[in-house]
Amino acid sequence: MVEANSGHELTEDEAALYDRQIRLWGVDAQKRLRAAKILLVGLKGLGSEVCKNVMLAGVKSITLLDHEPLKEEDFGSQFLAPRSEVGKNRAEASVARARRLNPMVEVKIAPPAEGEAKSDPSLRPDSFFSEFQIVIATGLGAESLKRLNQVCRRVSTDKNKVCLIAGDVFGFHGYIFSDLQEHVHLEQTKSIIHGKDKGDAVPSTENIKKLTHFVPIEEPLSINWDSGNTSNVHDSFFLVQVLLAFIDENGHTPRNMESDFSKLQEVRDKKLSSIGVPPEKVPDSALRKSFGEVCPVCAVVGGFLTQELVKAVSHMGSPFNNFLLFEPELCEGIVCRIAKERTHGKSKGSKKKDYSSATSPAKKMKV
Amino acid sequence: MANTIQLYGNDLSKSVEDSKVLVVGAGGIGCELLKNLVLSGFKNIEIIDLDTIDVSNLNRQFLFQKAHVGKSKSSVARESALQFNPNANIKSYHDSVMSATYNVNFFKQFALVMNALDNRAARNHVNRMCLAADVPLIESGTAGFSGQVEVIKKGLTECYECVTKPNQKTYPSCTIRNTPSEPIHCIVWGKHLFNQLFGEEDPDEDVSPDTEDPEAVGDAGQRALEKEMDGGKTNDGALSSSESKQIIERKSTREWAKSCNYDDKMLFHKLFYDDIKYLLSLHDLWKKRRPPTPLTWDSLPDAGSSRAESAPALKDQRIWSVAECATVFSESVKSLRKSLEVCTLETPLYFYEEEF
Repeated sequence: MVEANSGHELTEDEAALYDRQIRLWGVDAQKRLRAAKILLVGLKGLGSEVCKNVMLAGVKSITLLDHEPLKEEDFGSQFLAPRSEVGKNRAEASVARARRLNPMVEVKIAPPAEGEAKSDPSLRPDSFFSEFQIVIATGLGAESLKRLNQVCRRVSTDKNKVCLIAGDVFGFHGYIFSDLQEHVHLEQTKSIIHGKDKGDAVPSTENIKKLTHFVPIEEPLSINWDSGNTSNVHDSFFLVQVLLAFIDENGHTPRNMESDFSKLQEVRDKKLSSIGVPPEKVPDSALRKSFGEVCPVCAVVGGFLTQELVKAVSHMGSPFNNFLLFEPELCEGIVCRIAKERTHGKSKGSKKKDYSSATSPAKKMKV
Repeated sequence: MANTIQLYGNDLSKSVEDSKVLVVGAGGIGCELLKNLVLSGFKNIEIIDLDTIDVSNLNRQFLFQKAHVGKSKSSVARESALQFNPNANIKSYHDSVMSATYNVNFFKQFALVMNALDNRAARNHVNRMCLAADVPLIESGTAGFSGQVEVIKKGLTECYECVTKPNQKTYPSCTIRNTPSEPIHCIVWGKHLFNQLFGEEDPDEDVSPDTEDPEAVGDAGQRALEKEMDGGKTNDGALSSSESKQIIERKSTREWAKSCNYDDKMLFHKLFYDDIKYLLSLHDLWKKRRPPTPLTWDSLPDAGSSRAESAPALKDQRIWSVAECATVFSESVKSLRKSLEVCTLETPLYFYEEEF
């Protein structure tokens, strides 16, 4: 899968349009992008950012799926749907402007769903998902994400792996989760080999294949911390878990401070006690900042999310594994691996439930 | 916008609505910024950019489409952003922010200025204007996968010019002129040649061989001595007297090029035959290096041969043969000579490049 896809050569028009990014990530990465089929679930603020970025990157096709109508409140961050389309399905309302972003990319709307799948995209039949290389899921709760992640793994074959990248923006907060299953990427090491004499320096590049194991989202979300060591896990992770549980219960992210705040507090208390985390890990002050969608946060999280998509499709660059938590106070994207075991396929070293060794220390990205 | 008011509070929401802000630059950052401003509820926005839209902008400057190529960036950015929020007032200027029109009073009318520029000269200028007008400035930049944002406020933070920025990487002149070994050395040489022939002449950027190369000091020292004793004439058989005179007297390359009316073949001969012959005479340079090969216009090594079969399909990915390079050189010289004819002496041609 890492070998260059030689099936499709880029046209001169494509080379001219993508010139600046080809300089950055090379022709092979661009060829792989232009063969990729993407499913985008959810077209609120974050969804429209990701849609824009993926369109500009130059994939083969993007399929838009949203089970809700466009609302007035979306316009603080949704820029693909015109204001005149309130009440229309969000994906359908976004398709015209999306197409204009790049005429070389095919933009489709997911066909209408049947039965329960009408209100939950993760309940669509497996066959709907099998043609995609990447499924991007925004706006979904924990249960839908777990189900969708299982579907992606289930329909993956040797010929076509369906990767899941989930993400959302909750007020000033945001997260991204990646399950690229078993992912191989090329890491280029550039070095200058110096000869004995001045002026004999020869630049050389070496490609090293690296394998990364990912876990499905069910695993980090079902860890019972048992009041254990959570020092390696940023508190934002628990906030994200509370918000994903809120969506499970209410069918939407918290949007109205007056009516949703007490519900959110209840969900927090219930969720955190069920996973053995003290409630002070997610204070009221953090909950208050997680209403609606702040548009610059959508832009930042949508940018990072698309970069992970480009890495996944191109097999170039080290992908983050597995969470990115956007911390608004410090304006930082915190990357950490939250999983039961650090390495796959090996038996657990210790029987004691101590997840401090299961999570890798957070890396920080200043943004 | 009900959500935003809940999150920002009434005071901040009102400030956002009432504040007049300036965006300097409608490129990659400027387009994203303008979108974020109108969606966040800013109502009074001005945007300035002197540039017009190019196809290569469209992969990231998402407010522009193919139909807009050639049009003013600031004006198209304004039209596109207004679709996102028709209630905003956006004023666009297709102009250089460094123009005297945009004086301190102009800057004083804004609550905030945001730089989304691609070059240091304009960044320095806006930085100074904002300090003089005492208006906060948000400065930004990207390069490849990296980027940065900083707030600049008089009396509170460092300003853009408080810390001297490292100059763009420079290379020893003898590497550029005598012994280039990496592609970047050749690009630097090409830019120097451009300035020598058509732009602002800089004696430090002379592209002629460097006689003071410490590596060739044995030869060069002898040469200089001979020059002194001999009134400029050397007795090195490798060079004809006219050739050595031309090089050693260091006649301005520009003067010489003018005197032969920028004849492409004569320029080619000087740069790729005479100068190379001279470099070959500096024997010390080639003891451990592969020596260069002088080229003559009429017998270029791969003239007439076609590599088209094995070449990649895209023209930007193909490696030119020496003959193709020579053709491009010749066409460029002819076209630049024409541009120079319509230029006055005070404004030579300049090589515009984005800052990285």
